[in-house]
Amino acid sequence: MQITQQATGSTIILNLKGRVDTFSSKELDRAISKILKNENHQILIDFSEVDFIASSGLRVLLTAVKYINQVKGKLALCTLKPKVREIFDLVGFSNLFPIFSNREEALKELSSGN
Amino acid sequence: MSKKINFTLENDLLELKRIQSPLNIFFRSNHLSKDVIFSIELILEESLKNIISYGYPSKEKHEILVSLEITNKELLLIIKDDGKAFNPINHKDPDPTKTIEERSVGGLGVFLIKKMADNLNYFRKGNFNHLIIKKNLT
Repeated sequence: MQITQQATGSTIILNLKGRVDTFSSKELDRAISKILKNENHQILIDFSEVDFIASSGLRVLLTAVKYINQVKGKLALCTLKPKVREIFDLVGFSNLFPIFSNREEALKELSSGN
Repeated sequence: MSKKINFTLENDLLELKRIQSPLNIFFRSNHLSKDVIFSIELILEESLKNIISYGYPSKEKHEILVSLEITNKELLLIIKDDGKAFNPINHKDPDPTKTIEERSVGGLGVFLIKKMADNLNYFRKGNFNHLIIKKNLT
């Protein structure tokens, strides 16, 4: 998996590309931890180029959102492909994360209330 | 192209990477749908990761046998390992209605195996776990 990072206003965007599996979820965990360590608590993860997600990736996201909620930050996801969205729906994660169909909507929502 | 493929894996997580390429060739040459491929890849990833990570108390080398066979209507996946007895069918499912604070970070892998399979059977014979998974192709 490739992870690229960009900042838009007070939001850090992580663009993921490839598979979020047992191996690459560790990279995702490291990337999120680094952002949080720098006191940025507003993160958008763009899934538009993710074709596969396993439980290891879901665990990283759940751990992250538990922490981010505690520090009153925001974690949102956007542009999930249908099969990846189906996995989020199956495990009930669609109720735990704000999920947007495109990046613009997500950024608009994240920047509201700042 | 063969309608059947067998793998023998060591109890090392890196083996998950090694089987990706031959698996992709097998899937492509048998013209499986994206949906079926996604499901089988997820079942394999979650099952093998569980066996390798939790099945063996010592670091001693073990072999895990995997076979995939395609018939007209279904894909049959069999995973055989000599790790600790573990029946995923009896594993408690996570509650998807719980809040973020209440949700546990574990248990999702087995839940996904159950959801991705159209039919799941387990039995223990001798020192071996046998997991038999069927995925409809029609």
